[in-house]
Amino acid sequence: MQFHGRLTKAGTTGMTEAVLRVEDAGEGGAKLILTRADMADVTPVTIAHVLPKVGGGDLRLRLSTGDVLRLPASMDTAPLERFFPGPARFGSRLTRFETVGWRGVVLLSVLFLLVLAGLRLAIAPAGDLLARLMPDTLVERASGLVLAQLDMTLLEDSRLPDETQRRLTGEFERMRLLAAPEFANTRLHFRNAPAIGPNAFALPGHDIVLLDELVTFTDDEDVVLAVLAHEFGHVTEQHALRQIMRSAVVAIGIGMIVGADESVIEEIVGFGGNLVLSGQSRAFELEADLVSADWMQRLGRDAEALPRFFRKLQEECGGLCDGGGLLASHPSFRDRIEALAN
Amino acid sequence: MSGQLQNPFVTMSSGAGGTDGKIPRHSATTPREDRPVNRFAALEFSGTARQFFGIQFVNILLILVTVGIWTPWARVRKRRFFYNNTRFLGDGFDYLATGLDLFKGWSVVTLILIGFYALPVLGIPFLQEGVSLALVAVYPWAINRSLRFNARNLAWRDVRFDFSGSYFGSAWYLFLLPLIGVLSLGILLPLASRGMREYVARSYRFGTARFSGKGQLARYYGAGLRALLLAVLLIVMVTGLVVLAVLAIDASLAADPLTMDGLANILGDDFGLALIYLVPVLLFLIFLLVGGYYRALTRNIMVNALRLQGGVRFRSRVSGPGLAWIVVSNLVLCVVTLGLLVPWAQVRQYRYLTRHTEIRPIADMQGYLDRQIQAGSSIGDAVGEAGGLEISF
Repeated sequence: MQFHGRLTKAGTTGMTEAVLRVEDAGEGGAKLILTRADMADVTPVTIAHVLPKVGGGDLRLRLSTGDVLRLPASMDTAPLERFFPGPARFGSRLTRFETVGWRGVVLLSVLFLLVLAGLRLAIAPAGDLLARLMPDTLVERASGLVLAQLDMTLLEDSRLPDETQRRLTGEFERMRLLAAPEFANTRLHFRNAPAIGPNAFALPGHDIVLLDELVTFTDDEDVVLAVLAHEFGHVTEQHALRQIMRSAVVAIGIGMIVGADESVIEEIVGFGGNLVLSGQSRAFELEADLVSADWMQRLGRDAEALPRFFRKLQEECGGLCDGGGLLASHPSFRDRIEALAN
Repeated sequence: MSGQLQNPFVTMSSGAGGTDGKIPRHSATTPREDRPVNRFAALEFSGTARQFFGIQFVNILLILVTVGIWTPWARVRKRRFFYNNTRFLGDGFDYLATGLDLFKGWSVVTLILIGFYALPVLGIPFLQEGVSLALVAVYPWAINRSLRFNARNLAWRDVRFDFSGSYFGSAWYLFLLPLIGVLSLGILLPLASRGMREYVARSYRFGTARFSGKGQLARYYGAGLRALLLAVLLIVMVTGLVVLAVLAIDASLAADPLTMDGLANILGDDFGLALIYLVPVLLFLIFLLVGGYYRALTRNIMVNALRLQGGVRFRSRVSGPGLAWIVVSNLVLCVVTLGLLVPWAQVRQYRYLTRHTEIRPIADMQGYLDRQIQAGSSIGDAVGEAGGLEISF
């Protein structure tokens, strides 16, 4: 049995044609003999290193002489594999596994789509599981760090009158009684932020920030409390932390599925992941709206305050500050009002 | 040596040797009379999309089964597929790095990244941002190491490539100059393109032989001007379409466009809302089209000026519109098929580039020598990957 290829002299581009022949060595053994077109002698050799065929590429053998023998991809080199060093045999088996016909292409396509669907379905449960496993101390420390950074950049001390702050804090204390015991330490922070505008937000830990601009914009305490209850809903449902963990699942999943690809496809799939995450974020907002409506009722306050606020926002800035759409983190005011009405 | 054994080449004419009495000729061997010595011949690419499809999807499955650990081996198999099937004078290029080589660098970088993302736990504000800035300073080093690692692991016949760029050279040509090019509103971008392409070219070696190349700056500016004209033309077309669509939504906007009420009207209309999504997509496609066009033109200029010590010359015949079309149509097809056509798209683009790259060899290319150097660690390669950097020859 012989294998005809091209022999490159060690460390050069000089080459010649050569034949590698398997010869009987007695007692069931075999040895390899190299014959070169440019030399009269033949040489017994062993295979020192192998670069297995990948796709339609050649098989590259580094021989014990230091020279490199290339055998074409079309050649059946399976009988040579018993002379390969151990790891190279695995590479050859993998090459056979990768060599698929059209049926294999269809099968792999279906598997790929199933993997994508699996990732899509795993985002929420896997992210939520990770959020549950996260130690509270770490989350609290990260939350405090975010607030400290915001204080150094965007936020200023609140300018609300002490009386207003006291009154709102008192109502916030009542809300804390409605929350599960593990959220009883949730803190309310008053801040001023002209660059952000009328808003309030919950951090991944037990921190809620209320901006002065929201209080002055609404001039309606029930609305302010409804927004605070909405943010408290984010805290009790751990929306911020779950969203971060779900994003991590998307990033890790995409990295695993297409990360080895070194191409723009990672960004495209990442865009798809963001679409899913945005949808889930909108669902979180609706969930927090419902918590707000429920708590406002239980506190004996106006449960219609939140829809009233949405209508006011709609009137004040029309469609420009409305959410909604595939990439938006918040649903549109129309959807939120409808969800609360139901 | 075995004196008793006979060399079949010696007695080939008498019919001895070989299982059927003949020595089969290597399929990739080019007959001596047909060898393209001293005239230009295109690189060949012998891989197929189906082969790459098998490699990629088996890679994905193995990465999932091994919870990501297979990633470095996956990269090696992908690189081997492309290099090994790229043939010059019948011989493919060899990517010599192993998955284990890449895994070592990958592990170090993964540990560093885990540490980086765990920094907020320390509770020091802006510590992460500060470390990010420090990491920026690492990138020129990393990209240098990456280029060197990959060059030293790339061989043709048994001679490896090498890359001898310096930290400050990479920082200037690959980071600062392109940044200046962008900050100058594109005026200095052709200068940056020339600097970057020529720096990479002259830092490469093939064994002991150096590459050189000096394209005319005016030609880079010519390419920049043509790309700019194409961008303006496409943007004018898209703007025209958007204006027509807006007028179709609300004719009153013709008299008073860009008022808050007008914008609100557009946002309130389903067609208008679709337009809001469509415009960034169209702009992104224009960016890709113009980018592909400019890349093709500057590639041609650089490759045509490239020389390898000993008299080897190169020629690139990539068409600007051709490459731009391939880039954009590939993207659209990949998105539409949920990524299933990615292997096909990558092979398509790679084959186009190789087939339009020509080399004029000298004297059978027999006289080049390897420098016998170590490839070094793969940390730079892994840092480059983590930062989304990829610069290749």
